[in-house]
Amino acid sequence: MDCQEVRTTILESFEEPLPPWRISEVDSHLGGCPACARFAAVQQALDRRLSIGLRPPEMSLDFRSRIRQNVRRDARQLWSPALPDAVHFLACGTATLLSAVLLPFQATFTLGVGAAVTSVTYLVATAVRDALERADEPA
Amino acid sequence: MDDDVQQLLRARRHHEALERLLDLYEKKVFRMAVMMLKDAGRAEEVTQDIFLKVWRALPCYDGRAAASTWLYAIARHTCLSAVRAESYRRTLPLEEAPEPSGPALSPSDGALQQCLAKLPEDQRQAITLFYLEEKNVKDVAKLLDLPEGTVKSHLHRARRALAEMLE
Repeated sequence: MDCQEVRTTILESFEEPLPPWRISEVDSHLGGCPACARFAAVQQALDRRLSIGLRPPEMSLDFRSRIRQNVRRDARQLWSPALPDAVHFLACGTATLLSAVLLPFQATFTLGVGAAVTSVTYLVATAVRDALERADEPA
Repeated sequence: MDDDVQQLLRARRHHEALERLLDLYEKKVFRMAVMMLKDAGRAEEVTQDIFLKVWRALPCYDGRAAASTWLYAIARHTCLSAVRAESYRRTLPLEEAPEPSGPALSPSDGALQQCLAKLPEDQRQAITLFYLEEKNVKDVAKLLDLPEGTVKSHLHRARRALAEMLE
């Protein structure tokens, strides 16, 4: 092995362990070459210094919970808060009007029943939504 | 590992898929952000943005690329945008610019930090990530979207340059 090969091998040794036969080749070269021995010592010292100096910083303890909060907030923002109620009233209104026209009952009776069913389902939906939001709150 | 994520996505279990991605990659993505932004506080904000983008994009992820490749691409683009925004911010008058919120890396070795800052950007990125990623060339190559041989070449050049600068 010449000096160039030895130095490349020394640099490679910081990335993955060398097979024993290459280590002995490098060692025998270093024994007779002070310049390469100096290169190896400097690189080993640099590796130690980098290992100590480049420690990864810690993430905040609440990092994951903040991501979850952001995701929840983002999921809510995709829909207008009023959209479920608007869809509910529109669907109930349409169904009530169609029933009033198509069913063989007095229109006032059908409209009254429709209004009552709309109100009850609105109250149930609101209660369920509130319960789900409370369950979704972080502990 | 990526298979778990793909299975969860096929089952449209997006929340669980996000949790799995966080388990697997949040630290790696954070370290890449630290390396690119050189500010741990800002890197954490950007990592939050990255996972929010990932969350929004999960329904569109088609599984053609590995989940890690897909996620790292989002992370790199978001970090680059943040770096560009930082460069723009530095051109603002001083009173309008917010203060950096925290140190980037262990500040104990000032001389080493100065020498690292003098390296060409590709070498600085490779050697910083190599040590932040517990000396794993494969991970560094994936994070930087570079062939492993190129990463090794950057590492060798960086080591030689740093040794010269520190001597």
